[in-house]
Amino acid sequence: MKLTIEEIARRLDLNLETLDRWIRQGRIPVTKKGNEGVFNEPELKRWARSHRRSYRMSPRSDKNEIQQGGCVLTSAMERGGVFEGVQGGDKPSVLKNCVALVPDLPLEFQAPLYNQLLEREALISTGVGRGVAIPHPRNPLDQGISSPVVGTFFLDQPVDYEAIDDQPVFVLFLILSPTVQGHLTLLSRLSYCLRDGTFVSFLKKIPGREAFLARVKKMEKNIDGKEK
Amino acid sequence: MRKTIFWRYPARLSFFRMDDRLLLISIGVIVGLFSGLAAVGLNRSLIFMLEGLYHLRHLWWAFLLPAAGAMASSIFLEKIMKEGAGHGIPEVIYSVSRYGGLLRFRSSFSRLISSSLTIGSGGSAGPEAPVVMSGAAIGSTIARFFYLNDRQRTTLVGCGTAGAIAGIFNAPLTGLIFTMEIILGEWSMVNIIPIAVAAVAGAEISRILQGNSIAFESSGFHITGVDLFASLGLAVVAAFASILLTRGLRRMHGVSVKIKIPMWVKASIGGAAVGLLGFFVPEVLGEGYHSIHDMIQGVFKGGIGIAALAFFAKIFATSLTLGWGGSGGIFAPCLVIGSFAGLAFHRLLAFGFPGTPLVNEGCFALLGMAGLISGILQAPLTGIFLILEITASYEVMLPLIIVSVISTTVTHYFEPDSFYHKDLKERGELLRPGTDSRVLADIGIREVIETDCITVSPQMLLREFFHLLKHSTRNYFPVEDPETGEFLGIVELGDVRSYIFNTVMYDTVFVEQIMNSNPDVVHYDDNLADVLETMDAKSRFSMPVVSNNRFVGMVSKATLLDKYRDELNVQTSQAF
Repeated sequence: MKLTIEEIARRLDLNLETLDRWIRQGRIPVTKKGNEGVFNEPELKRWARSHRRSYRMSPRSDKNEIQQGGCVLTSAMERGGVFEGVQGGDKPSVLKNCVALVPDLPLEFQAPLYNQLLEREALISTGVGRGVAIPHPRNPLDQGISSPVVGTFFLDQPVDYEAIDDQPVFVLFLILSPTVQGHLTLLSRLSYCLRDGTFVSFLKKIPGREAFLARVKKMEKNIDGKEK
Repeated sequence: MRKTIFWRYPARLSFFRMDDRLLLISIGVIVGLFSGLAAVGLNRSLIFMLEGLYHLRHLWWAFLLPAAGAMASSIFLEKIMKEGAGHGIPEVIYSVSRYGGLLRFRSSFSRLISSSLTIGSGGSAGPEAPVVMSGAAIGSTIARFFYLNDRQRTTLVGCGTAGAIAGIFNAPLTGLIFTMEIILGEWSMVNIIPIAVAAVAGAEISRILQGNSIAFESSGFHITGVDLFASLGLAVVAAFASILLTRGLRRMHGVSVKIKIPMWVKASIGGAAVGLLGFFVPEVLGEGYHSIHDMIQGVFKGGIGIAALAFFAKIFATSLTLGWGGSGGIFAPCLVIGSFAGLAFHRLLAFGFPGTPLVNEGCFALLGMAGLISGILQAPLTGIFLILEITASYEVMLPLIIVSVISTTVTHYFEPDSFYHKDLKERGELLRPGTDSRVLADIGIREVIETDCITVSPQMLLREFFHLLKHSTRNYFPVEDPETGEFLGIVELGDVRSYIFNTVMYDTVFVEQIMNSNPDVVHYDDNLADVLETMDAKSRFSMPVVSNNRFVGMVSKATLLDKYRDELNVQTSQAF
């Protein structure tokens, strides 16, 4: 296999100078040909394993891309889907129905997730007021999902959620993230949006998926701009 | 075109890229053959010189012969080859540890010629070190011819030295052990096999060309317990002889460095002095193998006085030859001095304790050689195997081990470093594989630099600075002149921590008031070991790297640990 030296350095997460020297000194199973390194992939992987290094196959890792790019919330919402008319008369049944609707969540993870959500609700309600709730598990999900997901669920009828302002809840945002960092980012962005009164009244009208996502995207661009 | 030169890139074949042992073994054979040839060549030219000059020896001006030889060799080395005098082994060791065994092609023959001039004309030096230098340079050249990497080249340099020693002494095991103990300093499987093969090749080529002869054939020694006891005393004598020779050589070198005259004049003065000495004690001239032969056979004429005189004269002559710019090694002189020491000791015992059933004096001469080699080189194994192979007398094994080991230990108290390593160590250039200094020497500043620092301008307000702090991941903020980009100083998070909650200061303090404007800095070409020493002395964890008055990054101990571990891992792991 043949790759540029820079690419090999990136895949092995090595300093370019160090890689260059190691090739020259013959400490790594790569030979140099011009600016290209020739190597055997399984061999190099084996070498990397035995030398406390990881060899990254894909040219770019997904995780970094999501965290670095803008519109984190919007893309998580796109993945999580927008659902209307979710059934349920009380908190547990609503949550159970929501969990069943999360796209791409394998069946065997649904019950544990539901239990985690109930545990979290038992500590203190996630109803943040004005009829909005943001249920989420206490610990990041290490299984079942690979990237952060925010599911939006408009309820068929408002239910009592023991919210801080005692108002019945009509919309739920279910936040699922594999990392704590991702969870906090999503939470801070979502709460920024919800602080805006016009956004909440916009939600009350139960907008369609496209209109809803467009509005969120617009608000999030605003945040991105401020951060820069 | 590409096809025709493909065979010069054997390391690019995927088969060899994964596992180059076969490649190294086969190239090692070639290297061993060539360095064995070099050894035979030097041997032949020494014999030729000796025979050619033999009829001049009895003339009154014969003492000028070593002078002329030393002068010619010095002029040849210095003016034509542009290489330093000396025996060359420290250069090989340094090149192995620092430049992956890179040696110049001309080194593969320059020392052969200069040392044959020095020794052939009667200078007191040995042909082994020059041949080692040649073998090493041959290995290096062949490695470069095949475009091999540093590690492979180092192995081939080892193959060259092993082949050379094996060829000149007809002693393959000694070649292997010498290379491992002195030159490479590590015993790794990947190295041992090619080097062993090269040693066999070197010995074989010399056997084919010069016959399978044992240099100092001897046998029939009957070792008893008394001899073992006596060998303890001999070991101590040999140790002191080693110390005497080491100090003599260095003292002589020190004297000659101070005198400001051209090198070739010095060499000829040294040579003339040796020549004069040779009038009275002819044993000191040349490599001296003839007298060793006599001593081991037990036919050396002359009493204890002559032996002792010859012992001191040889030390003096060797110091004169090598210290004053002649070219050659200390191997052969060591053997000669050792056998004189053994002989003198034996005669002393026979004189002091008449009637004690001692083994004959040849055996003591032999043990003395081992004691000197082990003491001077701080290499007991080399001493043991060399003597075993050049005398082919296995029955002396027990006293041989005792003398070698004790001589090494006693010498170590006074001269802790091997003769070959001493100069390197004094310059901090002895970098043995897998040691701290070697790991640090290999890592460059460019490899540990962290460039993700946010630079600030000196006119920045503290408020803006704290705003910046929110988005930063580092604790150090270099301050740059906004116009020229010049590095002005550095702000450390610790410096401003106490002001974080003091809002009054936010708009009244500028960065230039809180920065450290005179920090210790690192440059690209600094030695990492020195940088770490500075960090330790000033108890710092990070230092800014500055190049051309511009800030380029930070060096920190935390990152360094990571790199250090990687490097240690990579350096100490066997092959891939």
